[in-house]
Amino acid sequence: MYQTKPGFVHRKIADVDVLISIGGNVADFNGYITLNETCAFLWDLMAEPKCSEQLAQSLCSEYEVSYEEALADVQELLTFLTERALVQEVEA
Amino acid sequence: MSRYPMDGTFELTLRCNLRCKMCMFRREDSQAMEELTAAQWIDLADQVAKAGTMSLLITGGEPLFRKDFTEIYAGIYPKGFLLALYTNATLVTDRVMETLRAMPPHRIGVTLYGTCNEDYKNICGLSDGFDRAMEGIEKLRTLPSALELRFTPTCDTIEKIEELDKRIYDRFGIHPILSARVFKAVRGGCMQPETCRPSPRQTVDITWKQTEARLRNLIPEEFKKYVKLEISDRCEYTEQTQTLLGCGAGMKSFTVTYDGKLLGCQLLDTFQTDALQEGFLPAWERFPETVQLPPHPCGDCEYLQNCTLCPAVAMAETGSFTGVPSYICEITKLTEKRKEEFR
Repeated sequence: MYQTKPGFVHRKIADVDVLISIGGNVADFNGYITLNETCAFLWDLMAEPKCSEQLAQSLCSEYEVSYEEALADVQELLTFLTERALVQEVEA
Repeated sequence: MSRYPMDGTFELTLRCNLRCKMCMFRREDSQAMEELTAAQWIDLADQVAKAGTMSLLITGGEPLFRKDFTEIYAGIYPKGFLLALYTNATLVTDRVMETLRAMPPHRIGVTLYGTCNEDYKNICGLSDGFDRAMEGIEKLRTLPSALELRFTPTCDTIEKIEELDKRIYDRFGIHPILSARVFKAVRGGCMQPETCRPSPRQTVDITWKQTEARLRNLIPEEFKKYVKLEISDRCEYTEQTQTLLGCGAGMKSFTVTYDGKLLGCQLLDTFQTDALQEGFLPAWERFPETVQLPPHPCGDCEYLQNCTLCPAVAMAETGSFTGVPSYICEITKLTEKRKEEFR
Protein backbone atom coordinates (compact mmCIF):
# COMPACT_ATOMS: atom_id res chain seq x y z
CA MET A 1 0.00 0.00 0.00
CA TYR A 2 1.16 3.51 -0.71
CA GLN A 3 0.41 6.74 1.10
CA THR A 4 1.54 10.32 0.59
CA LYS A 5 4.07 11.53 3.15
CA PRO A 6 3.06 14.40 5.40
CA GLY A 7 4.78 17.72 4.80
CA PHE A 8 3.12 18.79 1.56
CA VAL A 9 -0.04 20.80 1.01
CA HIS A 10 -1.80 20.23 -2.32
CA ARG A 11 -2.92 23.60 -3.70
CA LYS A 12 -4.46 24.81 -6.93
CA ILE A 13 -2.61 27.91 -8.17
CA ALA A 14 -3.79 29.50 -11.41
CA ASP A 15 -5.27 26.15 -12.52
CA VAL A 16 -1.99 24.37 -11.82
CA ASP A 17 -1.74 21.69 -9.14
CA VAL A 18 1.20 22.31 -6.82
CA LEU A 19 2.56 20.68 -3.70
CA ILE A 20 3.94 23.20 -1.22
CA SER A 21 6.51 21.85 1.20
CA ILE A 22 5.71 22.70 4.84
CA GLY A 23 6.74 21.88 8.39
CA GLY A 24 9.79 19.70 9.01
CA ASN A 25 9.81 18.92 5.30
CA VAL A 26 11.18 22.42 4.58
CA ALA A 27 14.55 21.20 5.88
CA ASP A 28 14.72 18.66 3.05
CA PHE A 29 12.89 20.58 0.36
CA ASN A 30 12.32 24.33 0.52
CA GLY A 31 9.93 24.99 -2.33
CA TYR A 32 7.12 23.53 -4.39
CA ILE A 33 6.44 20.85 -7.00
CA THR A 34 3.97 21.09 -9.87
CA LEU A 35 1.80 18.07 -10.65
CA ASN A 36 0.07 17.13 -13.87
CA GLU A 37 -3.65 16.41 -13.71
CA THR A 38 -3.45 12.64 -13.28
CA CYS A 39 -0.69 12.81 -10.70
CA ALA A 40 -2.74 15.35 -8.72
CA PHE A 41 -5.72 12.97 -8.93
CA LEU A 42 -3.65 10.05 -7.64
CA TRP A 43 -1.95 12.19 -5.00
CA ASP A 44 -5.28 13.04 -3.41
CA LEU A 45 -6.34 9.38 -3.44
CA MET A 46 -3.18 8.45 -1.56
CA ALA A 47 -4.13 10.59 1.42
CA GLU A 48 -5.35 7.19 2.61
CA PRO A 49 -3.28 4.04 1.92
CA LYS A 50 -3.97 2.57 -1.53
CA CYS A 51 -2.48 -0.30 -3.51
CA SER A 52 -1.41 0.16 -7.12
CA GLU A 53 -4.40 -1.89 -8.34
CA GLN A 54 -6.84 0.40 -6.54
CA LEU A 55 -5.16 3.46 -7.99
CA ALA A 56 -5.23 1.98 -11.49
CA GLN A 57 -8.91 1.15 -11.09
CA SER A 58 -9.65 4.75 -10.04
CA LEU A 59 -7.74 6.05 -13.05
CA CYS A 60 -9.87 3.84 -15.33
CA SER A 61 -13.04 5.22 -13.75
CA GLU A 62 -11.94 8.82 -14.26
CA TYR A 63 -10.13 8.64 -17.60
CA GLU A 64 -10.53 6.67 -20.80
CA VAL A 65 -7.62 4.31 -20.37
CA SER A 66 -7.24 0.54 -20.30
CA TYR A 67 -6.57 -1.12 -16.94
CA GLU A 68 -3.22 -2.51 -18.14
CA GLU A 69 -2.01 0.87 -19.32
CA ALA A 70 -3.26 2.58 -16.13
CA LEU A 71 -1.51 0.02 -13.92
CA ALA A 72 1.78 0.42 -15.79
CA ASP A 73 1.54 4.22 -15.43
CA VAL A 74 0.65 3.99 -11.74
CA GLN A 75 3.57 1.69 -11.02
CA GLU A 76 5.96 3.98 -12.86
CA LEU A 77 4.64 6.98 -10.92
CA LEU A 78 4.83 5.15 -7.57
CA THR A 79 8.46 4.22 -8.22
CA PHE A 80 9.24 7.85 -9.10
CA LEU A 81 7.47 9.23 -6.01
CA THR A 82 8.84 6.61 -3.63
CA GLU A 83 12.42 7.15 -4.79
CA ARG A 84 11.99 10.86 -4.07
CA ALA A 85 10.44 10.20 -0.65
CA LEU A 86 7.15 11.86 -1.57
CA VAL A 87 5.18 8.66 -1.05
CA GLN A 88 5.82 5.88 1.44
CA GLU A 89 4.94 2.21 1.51
CA VAL A 90 2.71 1.34 4.46
CA GLU A 91 1.23 -1.83 5.93
CA ALA A 92 -2.26 -2.73 4.75
CA MET B 1 -2.52 39.34 -19.30
CA SER B 2 -5.06 38.28 -16.73
CA ARG B 3 -4.98 39.39 -13.11
CA TYR B 4 -4.21 36.76 -10.52
CA PRO B 5 -3.44 37.31 -6.80
CA MET B 6 -0.25 35.25 -6.83
CA ASP B 7 1.86 37.15 -4.27
CA GLY B 8 0.37 38.51 -1.07
CA THR B 9 1.58 40.58 1.86
CA PHE B 10 -0.08 40.51 5.26
CA GLU B 11 0.87 43.63 7.21
CA LEU B 12 -0.03 42.32 10.66
CA THR B 13 0.63 45.63 12.38
CA LEU B 14 2.21 49.03 11.88
CA ARG B 15 3.43 48.98 15.47
CA CYS B 16 7.08 48.33 16.16
CA ASN B 17 9.41 48.12 19.15
CA LEU B 18 11.94 50.26 17.25
CA ARG B 19 11.70 53.98 16.41
CA CYS B 20 13.84 54.01 13.29
CA LYS B 21 14.49 57.47 11.89
CA MET B 22 14.14 56.24 8.32
CA CYS B 23 10.93 54.22 8.83
CA MET B 24 8.40 54.97 6.10
CA PHE B 25 5.42 53.40 7.86
CA ARG B 26 5.28 53.94 11.63
CA ARG B 27 2.59 56.36 12.70
CA GLU B 28 2.40 58.48 15.83
CA ASP B 29 -0.96 56.88 16.67
CA SER B 30 0.12 53.38 15.74
CA GLN B 31 -0.22 52.04 19.30
CA ALA B 32 -3.93 52.85 19.22
CA MET B 33 -4.76 51.67 15.72
CA GLU B 34 -7.35 48.96 15.38
CA GLU B 35 -5.74 45.84 13.99
CA LEU B 36 -7.42 42.74 12.65
CA THR B 37 -7.76 40.01 15.25
CA ALA B 38 -5.95 36.70 14.99
CA ALA B 39 -9.20 35.04 13.90
CA GLN B 40 -9.70 37.64 11.15
CA TRP B 41 -6.15 37.12 9.81
CA ILE B 42 -6.60 33.37 9.78
CA ASP B 43 -9.93 33.71 7.97
CA LEU B 44 -8.33 36.06 5.41
CA ALA B 45 -5.50 33.55 4.92
CA ASP B 46 -8.12 30.95 4.14
CA GLN B 47 -9.73 33.29 1.61
CA VAL B 48 -6.48 34.21 -0.15
CA ALA B 49 -5.49 30.52 -0.27
CA LYS B 50 -8.79 29.73 -1.98
CA ALA B 51 -8.20 32.66 -4.36
CA GLY B 52 -4.92 30.98 -5.39
CA THR B 53 -2.22 33.00 -3.64
CA MET B 54 1.05 31.10 -3.68
CA SER B 55 3.56 33.34 -1.85
CA LEU B 56 2.65 35.14 1.33
CA LEU B 57 4.84 37.63 3.17
CA ILE B 58 4.15 38.22 6.86
CA THR B 59 5.44 41.65 7.78
CA GLY B 60 4.71 44.83 9.72
CA GLY B 61 5.65 47.13 11.41
CA GLU B 62 7.28 44.42 13.40
CA PRO B 63 5.07 41.31 13.19
CA LEU B 64 6.67 39.73 16.28
CA PHE B 65 5.55 42.78 18.28
CA ARG B 66 2.01 41.40 18.27
CA LYS B 67 1.37 39.40 21.41
CA ASP B 68 -0.72 36.97 19.37
CA PHE B 69 1.86 36.55 16.60
CA THR B 70 2.33 32.83 17.19
CA GLU B 71 -1.44 32.27 17.16
CA ILE B 72 -1.82 34.12 13.85
CA TYR B 73 1.23 32.46 12.30
CA ALA B 74 0.21 28.95 13.38
CA GLY B 75 -3.26 29.55 11.95
CA ILE B 76 -1.97 30.76 8.59
CA TYR B 77 0.84 28.25 8.09
CA PRO B 78 -1.06 24.99 7.46
CA LYS B 79 -2.94 26.56 4.53
CA GLY B 80 0.22 25.99 2.48
CA PHE B 81 1.83 29.16 1.18
CA LEU B 82 5.42 29.78 0.22
CA LEU B 83 5.78 31.78 3.39
CA ALA B 84 8.21 34.62 4.10
CA LEU B 85 8.62 36.44 7.40
CA TYR B 86 10.21 39.89 7.68
CA THR B 87 11.43 40.94 11.11
CA ASN B 88 14.05 43.07 12.87
CA ALA B 89 15.04 39.94 14.87
CA THR B 90 15.08 41.75 18.22
CA LEU B 91 11.98 39.96 19.56
CA VAL B 92 12.77 36.32 18.84
CA THR B 93 11.51 34.72 22.04
CA ASP B 94 11.56 31.02 22.94
CA ARG B 95 7.84 30.89 22.21
CA VAL B 96 8.37 32.35 18.73
CA MET B 97 11.18 29.87 18.07
CA GLU B 98 9.05 26.95 19.23
CA THR B 99 6.40 27.93 16.68
CA LEU B 100 8.86 28.61 13.86
CA ARG B 101 10.71 25.35 14.52
CA ALA B 102 7.49 23.37 14.08
CA MET B 103 6.43 25.50 11.10
CA PRO B 104 9.50 27.01 9.46
CA PRO B 105 8.83 29.74 6.91
CA HIS B 106 10.45 29.23 3.52
CA ARG B 107 12.27 32.52 3.81
CA ILE B 108 13.14 34.91 6.63
CA GLY B 109 14.28 38.47 5.95
CA VAL B 110 16.01 40.45 8.70
CA THR B 111 16.87 44.13 8.31
CA LEU B 112 19.88 45.48 10.19
CA TYR B 113 20.40 49.12 11.06
CA GLY B 114 24.00 49.39 12.25
CA THR B 115 27.13 47.66 13.45
CA CYS B 116 26.83 48.24 17.19
CA ASN B 117 24.43 49.06 20.02
CA GLU B 118 25.33 52.75 19.68
CA ASP B 119 23.97 52.75 16.11
CA TYR B 120 20.74 51.06 17.21
CA LYS B 121 20.39 53.56 20.06
CA ASN B 122 20.88 56.54 17.75
CA ILE B 123 18.87 55.28 14.81
CA CYS B 124 16.24 52.99 16.32
CA GLY B 125 16.02 54.16 19.93
CA LEU B 126 16.92 50.72 21.34
CA SER B 127 20.16 50.77 23.31
CA ASP B 128 20.84 47.02 23.15
CA GLY B 129 19.27 46.58 19.70
CA PHE B 130 22.36 45.28 17.94
CA ASP B 131 23.02 42.58 20.55
CA ARG B 132 19.39 41.54 20.46
CA ALA B 133 19.34 41.40 16.66
CA MET B 134 22.50 39.28 16.61
CA GLU B 135 21.03 36.95 19.23
CA GLY B 136 17.80 36.74 17.22
CA ILE B 137 19.64 35.92 14.01
CA GLU B 138 21.63 33.23 15.83
CA LYS B 139 18.33 31.58 16.74
CA LEU B 140 16.68 32.08 13.34
CA ARG B 141 19.64 30.60 11.47
CA THR B 142 19.03 27.26 13.21
CA LEU B 143 15.82 26.96 11.16
CA PRO B 144 15.85 25.39 7.71
CA SER B 145 14.43 28.61 6.24
CA ALA B 146 16.41 30.60 3.68
CA LEU B 147 17.79 33.56 5.64
CA GLU B 148 18.27 36.97 4.02
CA LEU B 149 19.94 39.81 5.86
CA ARG B 150 19.46 43.38 4.70
CA PHE B 151 21.03 46.64 5.71
CA THR B 152 19.30 50.00 5.43
CA PRO B 153 21.95 52.69 5.88
CA THR B 154 21.41 56.27 6.97
CA CYS B 155 23.79 59.15 6.36
CA ASP B 156 25.23 58.27 9.81
CA THR B 157 25.95 54.61 9.05
CA ILE B 158 26.72 54.70 5.36
CA GLU B 159 30.45 54.69 6.01
CA LYS B 160 30.09 51.45 7.96
CA ILE B 161 28.82 49.30 5.12
CA GLU B 162 32.06 47.44 4.57
CA GLU B 163 32.54 46.95 8.31
CA LEU B 164 29.01 45.58 8.64
CA ASP B 165 29.41 43.33 5.62
CA LYS B 166 32.59 41.84 7.05
CA ARG B 167 31.21 41.41 10.58
CA ILE B 168 28.03 39.78 9.37
CA TYR B 169 29.74 37.58 6.82
CA ASP B 170 32.33 36.44 9.37
CA ARG B 171 29.62 35.61 11.89
CA PHE B 172 26.83 34.21 9.73
CA GLY B 173 28.39 33.52 6.34
CA ILE B 174 25.88 35.82 4.67
CA HIS B 175 26.55 39.08 2.83
CA PRO B 176 23.79 41.54 3.80
CA ILE B 177 21.78 42.95 0.91
CA LEU B 178 21.92 46.71 0.75
CA SER B 179 18.57 48.56 0.74
CA ALA B 180 19.95 52.00 0.01
CA ARG B 181 16.95 53.76 -1.48
CA VAL B 182 14.79 55.25 1.25
CA PHE B 183 11.62 57.16 0.43
CA LYS B 184 9.70 59.75 2.37
CA ALA B 185 7.08 58.48 4.82
CA VAL B 186 3.95 56.95 3.32
CA ARG B 187 0.36 56.38 4.53
CA GLY B 188 0.62 58.92 7.33
CA GLY B 189 4.01 57.75 8.63
CA CYS B 190 5.34 60.13 11.29
CA MET B 191 9.09 59.90 10.69
CA GLN B 192 11.08 61.98 8.21
CA PRO B 193 13.33 59.50 6.42
CA GLU B 194 14.45 62.16 3.95
CA THR B 195 16.32 63.96 6.72
CA CYS B 196 18.62 61.02 7.41
CA ARG B 197 18.80 59.06 4.17
CA PRO B 198 22.03 58.91 2.17
CA SER B 199 22.28 61.47 -0.64
CA PRO B 200 21.59 60.32 -4.21
CA ARG B 201 25.33 60.33 -4.91
CA GLN B 202 26.07 58.23 -1.82
CA THR B 203 23.20 55.90 -2.73
CA VAL B 204 24.50 55.36 -6.26
CA ASP B 205 28.11 54.96 -5.07
CA ILE B 206 27.33 52.33 -2.48
CA THR B 207 24.78 50.51 -4.61
CA TRP B 208 27.22 50.34 -7.49
CA LYS B 209 30.06 49.14 -5.30
CA GLN B 210 27.93 46.51 -3.56
CA THR B 211 26.38 45.24 -6.79
CA GLU B 212 29.76 44.87 -8.44
CA ALA B 213 31.19 43.10 -5.39
CA ARG B 214 28.15 40.82 -5.23
CA LEU B 215 28.46 39.86 -8.89
CA ARG B 216 32.18 39.22 -8.53
CA ASN B 217 31.50 37.06 -5.45
CA LEU B 218 29.34 34.83 -7.64
CA ILE B 219 32.27 33.99 -9.90
CA PRO B 220 34.44 31.09 -8.72
CA GLU B 221 38.00 32.23 -7.98
CA GLU B 222 39.57 30.14 -10.75
CA PHE B 223 37.32 31.74 -13.40
CA LYS B 224 37.69 35.36 -12.28
CA LYS B 225 40.48 36.16 -14.73
CA TYR B 226 38.31 35.00 -17.65
CA VAL B 227 35.17 36.93 -16.72
CA LYS B 228 34.45 40.50 -17.73
CA LEU B 229 31.41 42.24 -16.32
CA GLU B 230 29.31 44.11 -18.85
CA ILE B 231 26.28 46.33 -18.54
CA SER B 232 23.10 46.14 -20.51
CA ASP B 233 20.04 48.34 -20.30
CA ARG B 234 16.79 47.00 -18.97
CA CYS B 235 15.19 44.42 -21.25
CA GLU B 236 12.54 45.92 -23.46
CA TYR B 237 9.27 44.10 -23.28
CA THR B 238 8.54 42.25 -26.46
CA GLU B 239 4.84 42.32 -25.82
CA GLN B 240 2.57 44.85 -24.23
CA THR B 241 2.34 44.19 -20.49
CA GLN B 242 -0.85 45.27 -18.83
CA THR B 243 -0.34 47.01 -15.50
CA LEU B 244 -2.31 49.17 -13.10
CA LEU B 245 0.57 50.94 -11.36
CA GLY B 246 3.49 50.24 -13.69
CA CYS B 247 4.44 46.94 -12.03
CA GLY B 248 2.75 43.79 -10.77
CA ALA B 249 0.94 45.64 -7.96
CA GLY B 250 -2.78 44.96 -8.13
CA MET B 251 -2.21 42.63 -11.09
CA LYS B 252 -0.42 39.73 -9.44
CA SER B 253 0.46 41.10 -6.02
CA PHE B 254 -1.44 42.72 -3.17
CA THR B 255 -1.14 43.87 0.42
CA VAL B 256 -3.70 43.48 3.16
CA THR B 257 -3.11 46.24 5.71
CA TYR B 258 -3.24 45.96 9.50
CA ASP B 259 -6.92 46.97 9.40
CA GLY B 260 -8.01 44.78 6.49
CA LYS B 261 -7.76 47.14 3.53
CA LEU B 262 -6.59 45.71 0.22
CA LEU B 263 -3.84 47.71 -1.51
CA GLY B 264 -1.88 47.02 -4.68
CA CYS B 265 1.34 47.90 -2.87
CA GLN B 266 2.21 48.55 0.76
CA LEU B 267 3.57 51.99 -0.17
CA LEU B 268 0.35 53.38 -1.63
CA ASP B 269 -3.10 53.58 -0.06
CA THR B 270 -4.72 56.10 -2.43
CA PHE B 271 -6.39 53.20 -4.21
CA GLN B 272 -7.93 50.59 -1.94
CA THR B 273 -10.80 48.22 -1.39
CA ASP B 274 -11.86 46.54 1.83
CA ALA B 275 -10.81 42.90 2.11
CA LEU B 276 -12.31 42.62 5.59
CA GLN B 277 -15.77 43.98 4.79
CA GLU B 278 -16.15 42.84 1.18
CA GLY B 279 -14.25 39.57 1.45
CA PHE B 280 -10.88 39.07 -0.22
CA LEU B 281 -11.96 37.94 -3.67
CA PRO B 282 -14.62 40.63 -4.26
CA ALA B 283 -12.17 43.25 -2.97
CA TRP B 284 -9.46 41.93 -5.30
CA GLU B 285 -11.82 41.89 -8.27
CA ARG B 286 -13.04 45.43 -7.60
CA PHE B 287 -9.56 46.89 -7.00
CA PRO B 288 -8.82 47.99 -10.61
CA GLU B 289 -11.94 50.19 -10.61
CA THR B 290 -10.37 52.32 -7.89
CA VAL B 291 -7.16 53.09 -9.80
CA GLN B 292 -7.28 56.46 -11.55
CA LEU B 293 -3.89 57.77 -12.59
CA PRO B 294 -3.23 61.00 -14.48
CA PRO B 295 -0.64 60.93 -17.30
CA HIS B 296 2.86 61.37 -15.91
CA PRO B 297 5.02 64.27 -17.13
CA CYS B 298 8.13 62.07 -17.41
CA GLY B 299 6.82 60.48 -20.62
CA ASP B 300 9.41 62.20 -22.83
CA CYS B 301 12.38 61.86 -20.48
CA GLU B 302 15.46 60.35 -22.10
CA TYR B 303 16.13 58.34 -18.93
CA LEU B 304 12.63 56.88 -18.68
CA GLN B 305 13.59 53.35 -19.70
CA ASN B 306 16.07 53.05 -16.84
CA CYS B 307 14.19 55.08 -14.25
CA THR B 308 12.62 53.39 -11.21
CA LEU B 309 9.98 56.04 -10.61
CA CYS B 310 6.51 54.60 -10.01
CA PRO B 311 3.22 56.19 -8.89
CA ALA B 312 3.78 55.11 -5.26
CA VAL B 313 7.20 56.75 -5.12
CA ALA B 314 5.97 59.88 -6.92
CA MET B 315 3.20 60.18 -4.32
CA ALA B 316 5.56 59.50 -1.40
CA GLU B 317 8.19 61.96 -2.57
CA THR B 318 6.05 64.78 -3.96
CA GLY B 319 2.53 64.24 -2.64
CA SER B 320 1.25 63.97 -6.21
CA PHE B 321 1.11 61.34 -8.95
CA THR B 322 2.34 63.97 -11.42
CA GLY B 323 5.21 65.15 -9.25
CA VAL B 324 8.80 64.66 -10.42
CA PRO B 325 10.93 63.70 -7.42
CA SER B 326 14.43 65.15 -7.61
CA TYR B 327 15.72 62.30 -5.39
CA ILE B 328 14.81 59.71 -8.03
CA CYS B 329 15.88 61.90 -10.97
CA GLU B 330 19.31 62.38 -9.46
CA ILE B 331 19.74 58.68 -8.67
CA THR B 332 18.74 57.74 -12.23
CA LYS B 333 21.04 60.29 -13.88
CA LEU B 334 24.00 59.42 -11.66
CA THR B 335 23.45 55.72 -12.32
CA GLU B 336 23.40 56.30 -16.08
CA LYS B 337 26.59 58.33 -15.80
CA ARG B 338 28.21 55.50 -13.84
CA LYS B 339 27.19 53.03 -16.53
CA GLU B 340 28.78 55.16 -19.23
CA GLU B 341 32.00 55.44 -17.23
CA PHE B 342 32.03 51.68 -16.68
CA ARG B 343 31.54 51.00 -20.37
